[in-house]
Amino acid sequence: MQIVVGISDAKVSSDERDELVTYSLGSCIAVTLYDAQARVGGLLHYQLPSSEDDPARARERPLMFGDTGAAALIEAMTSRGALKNRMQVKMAGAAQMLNDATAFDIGRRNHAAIRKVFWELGMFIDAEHVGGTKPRTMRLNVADGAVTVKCDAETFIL
Amino acid sequence: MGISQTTLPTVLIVDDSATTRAVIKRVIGMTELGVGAVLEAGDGAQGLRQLEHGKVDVVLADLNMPAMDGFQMIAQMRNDPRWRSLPVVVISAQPDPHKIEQLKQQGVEAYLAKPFTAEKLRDVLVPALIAAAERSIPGGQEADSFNLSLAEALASALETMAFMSPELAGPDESDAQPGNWRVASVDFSGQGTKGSLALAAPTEMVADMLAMAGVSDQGAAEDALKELANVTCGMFLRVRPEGGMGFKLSPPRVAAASETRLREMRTGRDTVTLRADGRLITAQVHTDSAFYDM
Repeated sequence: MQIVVGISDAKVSSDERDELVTYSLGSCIAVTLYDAQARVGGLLHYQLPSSEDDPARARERPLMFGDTGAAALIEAMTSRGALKNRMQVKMAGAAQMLNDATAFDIGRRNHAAIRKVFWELGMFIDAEHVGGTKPRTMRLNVADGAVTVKCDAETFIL
Repeated sequence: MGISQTTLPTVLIVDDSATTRAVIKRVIGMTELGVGAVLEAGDGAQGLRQLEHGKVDVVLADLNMPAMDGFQMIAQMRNDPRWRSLPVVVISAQPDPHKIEQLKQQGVEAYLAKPFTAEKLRDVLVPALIAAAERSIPGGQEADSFNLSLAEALASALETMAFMSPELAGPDESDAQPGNWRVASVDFSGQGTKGSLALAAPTEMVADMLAMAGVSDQGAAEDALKELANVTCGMFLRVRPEGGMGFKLSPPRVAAASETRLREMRTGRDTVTLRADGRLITAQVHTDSAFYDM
């Protein structure tokens, strides 16, 4: 079954028939986690770099922010038997959208922030497809952990 | 990638920056490869003394260091039968591709350009550690090719530090106190030009950068800022492959930032500012000839 992950949303599945997918990734970042041994996959689509920018909102909607979103996704994965040190980490997004021409736009900030989050967690990032100016679609196949990113009519395997 | 219990390799890190040594140690830990011991040295002479004292299986060496630099240390190692075949990985911001080529001819396993990400370091370390454990020699890695604009080079260097800092803490732009800022600067000359690169960051931010890496000694905050300036300068000098060779860098200096200097650094076409989580680091390049393109 296809499970659509919205903006500021995350889903976890251990059903091999499922595919997690998120559309319209612009300056947002989608993170997929996959534990091949437990066969558990998760996908987060967050909007803003850090919960520190707006703690009140982050309490209400933790999946809106990179740090609280990643923490929530990892927790949901481990509650299904996944282990942090077995998880593959892949990410896509952080495009520079519209007429935001500043060197450090929200996409870049999102990217720097999520790299910091995984550095703090002591987790390597296994693959990423970030930057540019085009929106993306990201998919995770729960059966085998395959991740694809569609960007500008091309599909990339991460 | 099995390293058996009996052959856990001993790693020697030779780098004058305590911050960089701590970051490398953390990445070694993150790889979950078995490592027997991690030794540290602050320059080439100390590195050679560490080699005298005990068994080392792989050396991770910086190039630009006081007292004895990495080139001298590696040359001495290669002239000594005890260490002639000891695997060496160079981790440095060396702008001259010819010198990197020379190092490879001296049998350096791999070269990793600063600033590096945790993943790039892992990719170089894992084969070196396995080789050290198995006593076999894997092929060297190609140095990254650089063809970056100045802005990209600066941004890339700053972003590397952004994710390595546990918290880009310190005041944000609105309530920054100029007196609490430090500016690290590096002079460079060569190819008919000279100039300087200056980098400003709040003192608290730099101090907090070190908490995660576990560095607590006095002066470590300034050390981190100097390292960041040095690395950023190395990146910047790769901007023009044909014109960017053979630059001489001065040792980085650190001073308190004046309000005027900070204002200058926040505007202008030669300035890059990193904002992450609402905090900022800012960098400025000055040259007295227009040899680079924005």
